Amino acid sequence: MNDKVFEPKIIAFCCHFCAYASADLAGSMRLQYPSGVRIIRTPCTGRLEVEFYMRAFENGADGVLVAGCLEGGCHFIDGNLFAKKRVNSTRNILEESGIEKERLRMVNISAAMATNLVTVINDMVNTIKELGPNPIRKSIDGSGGEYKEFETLNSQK
Amino acid sequence: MKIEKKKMTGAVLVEGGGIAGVQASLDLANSGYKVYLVNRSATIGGMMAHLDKTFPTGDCATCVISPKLVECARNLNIEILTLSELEKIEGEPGNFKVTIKKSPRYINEKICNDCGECTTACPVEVNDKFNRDLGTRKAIQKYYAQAIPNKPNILKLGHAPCKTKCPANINVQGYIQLIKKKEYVKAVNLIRERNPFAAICGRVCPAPCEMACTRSKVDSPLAIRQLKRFASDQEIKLYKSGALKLPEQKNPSADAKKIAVIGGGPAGLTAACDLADRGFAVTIYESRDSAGGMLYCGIPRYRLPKDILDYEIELIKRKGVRIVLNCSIGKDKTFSDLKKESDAVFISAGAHVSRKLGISGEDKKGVNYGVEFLRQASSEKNKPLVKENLVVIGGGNVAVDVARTALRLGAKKVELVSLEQRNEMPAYKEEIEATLAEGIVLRNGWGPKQILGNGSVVGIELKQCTSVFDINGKFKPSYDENNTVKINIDQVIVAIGQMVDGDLTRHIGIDIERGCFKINPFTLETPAAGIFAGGDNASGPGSVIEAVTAGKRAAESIARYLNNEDMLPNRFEHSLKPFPEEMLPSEKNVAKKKRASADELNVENRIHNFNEIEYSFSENDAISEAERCLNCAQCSECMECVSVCEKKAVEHGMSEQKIELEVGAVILATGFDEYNAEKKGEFGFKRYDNVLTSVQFERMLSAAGPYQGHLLRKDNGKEAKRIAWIQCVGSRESKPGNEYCSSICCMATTKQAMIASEHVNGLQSTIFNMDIRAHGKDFDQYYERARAMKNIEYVKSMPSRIIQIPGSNDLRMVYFDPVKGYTEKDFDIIVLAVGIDPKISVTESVRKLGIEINEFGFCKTDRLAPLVTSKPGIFVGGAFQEPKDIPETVMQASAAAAMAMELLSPAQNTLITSKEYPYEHDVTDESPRIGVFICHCGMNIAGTVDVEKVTESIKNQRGVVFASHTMYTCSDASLSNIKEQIIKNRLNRVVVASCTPRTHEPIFRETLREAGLNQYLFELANIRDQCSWVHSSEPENATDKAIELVKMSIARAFRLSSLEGEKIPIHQNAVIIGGGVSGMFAALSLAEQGYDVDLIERSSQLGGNLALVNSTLENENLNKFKADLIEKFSTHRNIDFYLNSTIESVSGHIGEFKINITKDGKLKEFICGVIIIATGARPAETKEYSYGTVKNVITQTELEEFLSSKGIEKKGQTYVMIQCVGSRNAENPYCSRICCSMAVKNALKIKKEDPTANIYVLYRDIRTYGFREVYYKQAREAGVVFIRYDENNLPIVSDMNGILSSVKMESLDFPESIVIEADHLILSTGIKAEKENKRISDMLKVPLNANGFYVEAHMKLRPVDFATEGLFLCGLAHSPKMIDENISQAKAAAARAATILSKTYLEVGAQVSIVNQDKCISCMTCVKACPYGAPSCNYNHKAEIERAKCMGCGICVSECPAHAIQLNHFKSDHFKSMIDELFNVEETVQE
Repeated sequence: MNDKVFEPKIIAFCCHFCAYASADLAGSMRLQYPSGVRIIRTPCTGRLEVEFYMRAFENGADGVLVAGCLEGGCHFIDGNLFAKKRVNSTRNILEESGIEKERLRMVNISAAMATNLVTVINDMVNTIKELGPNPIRKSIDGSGGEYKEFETLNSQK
Repeated sequence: MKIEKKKMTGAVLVEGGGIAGVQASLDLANSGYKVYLVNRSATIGGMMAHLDKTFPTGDCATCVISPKLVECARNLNIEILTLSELEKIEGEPGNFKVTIKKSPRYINEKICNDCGECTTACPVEVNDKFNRDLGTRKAIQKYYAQAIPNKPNILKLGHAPCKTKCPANINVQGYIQLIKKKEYVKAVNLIRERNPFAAICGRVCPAPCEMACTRSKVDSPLAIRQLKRFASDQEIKLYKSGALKLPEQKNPSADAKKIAVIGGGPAGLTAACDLADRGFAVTIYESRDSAGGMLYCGIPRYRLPKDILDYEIELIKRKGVRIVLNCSIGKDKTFSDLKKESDAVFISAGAHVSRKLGISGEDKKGVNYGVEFLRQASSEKNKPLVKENLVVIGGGNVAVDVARTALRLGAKKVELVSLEQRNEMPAYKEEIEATLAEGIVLRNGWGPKQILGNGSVVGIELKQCTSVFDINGKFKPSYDENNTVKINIDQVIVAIGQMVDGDLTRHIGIDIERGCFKINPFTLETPAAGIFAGGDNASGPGSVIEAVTAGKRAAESIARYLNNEDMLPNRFEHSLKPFPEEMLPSEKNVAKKKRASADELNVENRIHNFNEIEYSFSENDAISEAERCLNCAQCSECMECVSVCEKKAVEHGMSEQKIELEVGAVILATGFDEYNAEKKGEFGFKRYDNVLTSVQFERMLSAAGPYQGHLLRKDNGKEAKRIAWIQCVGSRESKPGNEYCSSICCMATTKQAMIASEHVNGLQSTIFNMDIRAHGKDFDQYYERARAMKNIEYVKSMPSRIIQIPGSNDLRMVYFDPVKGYTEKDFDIIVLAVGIDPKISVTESVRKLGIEINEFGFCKTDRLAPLVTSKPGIFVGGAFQEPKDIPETVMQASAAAAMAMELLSPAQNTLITSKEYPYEHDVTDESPRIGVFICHCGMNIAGTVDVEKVTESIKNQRGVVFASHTMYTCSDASLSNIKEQIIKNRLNRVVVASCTPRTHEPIFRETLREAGLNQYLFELANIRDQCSWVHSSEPENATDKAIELVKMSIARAFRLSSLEGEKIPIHQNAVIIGGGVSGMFAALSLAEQGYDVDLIERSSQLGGNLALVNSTLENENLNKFKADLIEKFSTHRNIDFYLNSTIESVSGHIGEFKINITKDGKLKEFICGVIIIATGARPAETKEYSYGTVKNVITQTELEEFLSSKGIEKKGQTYVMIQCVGSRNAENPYCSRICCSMAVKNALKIKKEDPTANIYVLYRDIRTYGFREVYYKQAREAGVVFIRYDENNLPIVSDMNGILSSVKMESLDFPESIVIEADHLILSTGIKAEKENKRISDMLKVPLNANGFYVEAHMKLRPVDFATEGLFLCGLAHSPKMIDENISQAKAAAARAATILSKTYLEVGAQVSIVNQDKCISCMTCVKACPYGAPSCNYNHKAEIERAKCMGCGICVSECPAHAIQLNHFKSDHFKSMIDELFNVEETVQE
């Protein structure tokens, strides 16, 4: 049904003070990155709940990027360290659930590191392209075929 | 008696927009004072904005400074005046009148909305100052991406020499830039503004512009003429292809004033063209059968084809110029008739009559004249007769033209005879060369004696010309009459000059001067009213471009004459601003590039016809040639920016302004310059590509910099693997450097080396230094970390020079290594750690204001009054006072603000404005009614994203009742529209899809408030920075993404709710803990500002460590200072102090803290708005080096006491001082900062009393930073010996029976052990934190660092704040520091406290976390997680969050295992709704 080249859909949670600012800078520098990335602003990556990541994957996100301030440079002292901890534990949960942990990633980006942000995004997109679409998403779509096993997995739930 | 306070002005002028100026402004504005922030550059942010990271935390500089800058720009009480400087101060403290000079930005800041179109359109690339020439920028651009104010400015240096040297002042640079952009038609139109003959001058102009071209300093001038021709050829091509239509024929209105022009040459045509443009009815009377004058009948067709001429004349005709051909004034029409018919006359009949030789035989047949010959040759029919063998007499361009024309008309042998030698000939060099190429023979240095023959010419006798010019350079040929030669020829053509037609001048009958009409050379007026004359018939034969200039001037004068305006003022010529030579771009850094040359017809194919010889450039050649332009004037005034700016915000005509302001005080925070590394020629800066300054390296490191954070060699683009730093470039040395230490470079380099290691795998870093000065808080630990890294090597050596190795371009350093001896090492990049230089321009202007400058060019201050200039009411802060790093700069800036507040407290809150908003209507029970506004941002969004489609796609989303798209949503008109729509459609949520909330959310929130909606009911979708700009290559996907982003925002907006902050009352008094210098200064500052202060001191006396010091390094006596301070403090009516008092408990929050103390066994309670901690520190004790067991081993503090009480008892003794005793080791890894200066101070004191004393200072690094360096030098000059000891091999003290005998040491600088027979050993033991700190920090819940000092909120930008609001710190409790620094920090704490105490209530916490008491399981996870101590356990054993303390990060929300906490405005369902919306869209799309 869908012959289009697979373009991963990625949610990027960016902290207002650093990563979001670097995404803005990427804009003013007219850097280009794949359009499948959707940025959601958060006051601090420390605000992000495990549930958000899980919900994103359940809904069909192919990847989730969490971008916070540099370690030691968090606007809220150590919010990014809390985030790191949660991202790591979520990665384990994902892996146990049969979703590649590479689909969730946390990076530390300062407000001036627009090029690094773009590199990370490109890297993530490439990684996910290799992994293929989020297995859950495919079962939601009912695209069947090669994703059958996931469908079975889903129906067994 | 009532004391009447003088009336004062509650405003402060802050000069300098660096971090110091910004901090001072914010503190003042937040404490009730109006601020004018005056900044010389176009943006605020100063040096800090240039930095990549800051030490020692590695924070991104942009991240930390940007919010401050935005806050500054948004503060209603701060007025930012950029490109401005303080010029004059009159009046007295409290009531100054200041004058400010404001240079033009050329952008109307009020209108510009920073869309960036102008920058994209600008063709001019110049070196980027922000990136220190490592990259380029446009002439119109923002200083850097996050610049505040976020508006571009235009760089103008005046006008380039090509323009000022062109007689017609054509904007050469402008059209060359347009050619570079392939905007050929625009280029030609720009030329035609000053010269209607773009195509013609592109062929025949002598191009004086090329003579002036700056590029000739590098290699050769630009081929400007050919570029002009190329552009006009492209235009003609477009006409021919029909792609471009000729303009419509215009006609003057019936009542237009009439102007007659005599002669249709270039001068007449130009004047007519201009006058027709101005709406006059112009008629040209031309005596010949075609207009063009000399262009038609003087310049041969092979140089100027007829169709080109006709084309440009046609363009002029279409403007409504009437040309009457074959009408000779005096023959076909009289001048008096002409005068009667016209309102003004312009005479431009040219000079078309040849001069005669006046020799015998000139009347013979076969003697012709140049002008007439060319005229005949130009006509289609009666071509002149040409004999086979002829001679042309003359050395000018006409002679050359004649010779070449004769050749083309059939002459077999043509000889050109000129008086001048070849290099003296007035003809253009290229023309002479072409002539020779065509086979014409030159006979230089001969003049005609007589023409031979009977009736017809058979020959000519020539005589030798011995000199052409007299000693004054005047034409005055002399001949050797005896040296003659005869040649056989059949024809002579005389081309020795031309004159104005005498018949015409006689007929017209106005004054004549040397055969030409007499005129005013500037206005071209003749003595007769309404009659003007110009061109060859007024100023003698000249070039086309000169005639064009005359035409332009005449048109201007005639228009003024007819409009009855003054002739002279404001003429175009007055607008020219040639710029000084020294502003020309330096040719050193420009790569050489060959000048393009156009192809030509080869000789065989051209000498028998009149085909055009020169070809046009190819497009590639033209663009490559245009790229050679150095843009020496920067802005080329091509006006591309004007044409793309839809807001009409670009104003090239802006000029300098003077602004007068009334202020009560002035703060100077003008900062510093980097040392100019070019002065140190031995390091090859600017000669060698890979030698960079530290600021350049900082830009290279920056991910947003010109190298995107890659460390690349400039010469070959390869990654650098070996980088060296040279410290103290321009510092700690006499001329050409500065004697002081710049204080910051050691740490900056250490940071750069650390960060660079993260950028390059396997990077080897070498840092050449004398001492590493890591004297700041936590700096030494950072330095030790760097030193421990394998790839970073510190070498104690100063290299004397750098050599670039030919071939590889590697940089070789030869230096003396104390261990290895002479060493050679090669590097890829060498960074010069340039020091701090005073800003010369600032120093000069500050001196003019009557403020004293010290010997180093910085503001003169006193160690004990570090904020006060020599003029009362004017304060100083930051690096303009002394080189210093960011935290100290910030402290001093706040302190300077405190000084102003102390002075102006009677006028506090008199000049500030606050905004009143309408009552907010309650939306709680309403269902969401969302209005969506989608922004085009000019073309920024709409150029990529289909905004109409976006609008269409979202209008049926749940809750949306209104959707529209506008050009600029942030423009005043659009904001008014949003307000209207809110009221009209009863909107209760607003979504704007435009740019980033970081800059624009406040504007839209403001709009909601103005319309009576709560500001939190707003949501912004960033479809510019995150969509159109980053996906410009895929517009369809960008549109789809934009739709999704807007839908996500709508989904979130649907769930937003109104939020109200809490107003908490502020107790407007302070408690200060600690009664040392810092505590007392902080107390006095607040008390002077009118706040009540209670100071609590543990001990029985005031003064703290002041008891231990007697003088400063500068030899200021501290006893009087101490007595005065205590006197002033203890008698101040706003201060109460409590000695022998202990803090028992602290509770509460900002605005209302409760403190319990016990004094003399009694409890006492204080309630206060803020607390300042000034608990100090103490001298460290020691047991090392036999202290306490061996006699004559004392501490530095004891020595000081000893010297001031007893003095030196015995002369000629030996003193050994050991530095860093118990400091900078594993136990106390920090530097105590003061000990080096203290040792130098005491050493100097001993030497002063006893010059025969021997003093040895054993040290690791001498850290006499800033101006203190001078005393270190004095000590060395006085004979004090400084020896570096090996930290791994500490000095050993020997004694004899408990009496000191000698000190044995190892030094890395000497091969053998050194033994010093010592009489006294003095130990510098440093400073240790108070043990009491632990108890107080626990009570206040504020952190201590590993060394027991308090930890401030942010090391760089909040050095006196605690993370907990309402708590401040200063003095030694923060870290070891000098007395002047303590004073500054104390006042800074007072200023920061005043920002709270100045208010009666504080609005806190709308976006805060709220605990749902029912869900809370009392696990207290939140209490542990919160970095600010906001949650606590309440009486119910449930968590409760103190709104005043909550910062809104939401960490507790995500940590809470029971989901009992929600963060307002960032609730879980806000996030989830966005995540859900995104994938719902996905499903519908795929269906």
